Amino acid sequence: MKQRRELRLRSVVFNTIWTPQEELVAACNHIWARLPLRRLWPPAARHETPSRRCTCGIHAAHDLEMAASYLYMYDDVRQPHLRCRAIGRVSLWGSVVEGEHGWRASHAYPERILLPRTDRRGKPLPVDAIADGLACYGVPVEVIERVPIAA
Amino acid sequence: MDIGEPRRTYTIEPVEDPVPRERPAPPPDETPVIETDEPEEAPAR
Repeated sequence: MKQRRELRLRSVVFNTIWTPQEELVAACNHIWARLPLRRLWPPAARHETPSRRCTCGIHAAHDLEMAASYLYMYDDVRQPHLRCRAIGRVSLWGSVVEGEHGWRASHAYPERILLPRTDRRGKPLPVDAIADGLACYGVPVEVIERVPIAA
Repeated sequence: MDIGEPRRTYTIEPVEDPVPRERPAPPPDETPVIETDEPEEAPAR
């Protein structure tokens, strides 16, 4: 997405911006973790992120196809600052919950960014300009022909 | 993203810093250069 005059990576689901050259630290966005409901509902007490009893944390999938299945979420919602949907590999560390299909972690940073040459509808994207804009993250940015979608 | 049923939880620290941080450039050497008026020694004959 474009933030002011610079390109930034943003979560597909939440409005979380990945700051270049800074690790992303997870925080629970569930509303019950932020409201003072401890007396009414003990499980609603603030917890470390990620937690086994919650779905919070920075998510990553075991394989590219599974991650790609989430890439076009909210594609029907108008997002004027969105320039391109990207996928990639991420380094995870800190507290980690490992599941059947992936991980949720407390800390993360991109390890590799993959840019599809076209969008979901086959429209060509300005991948060269986008790759230049994402160079601030200091990780390899590769252009791929298409995002692998599991059948 | 649904990562499935949690299998295990653990803490892991990277061996190397995964974040490519830019290190600030070292400051230029600010040692003042002292000029002296001592004459040069003449070569021995």
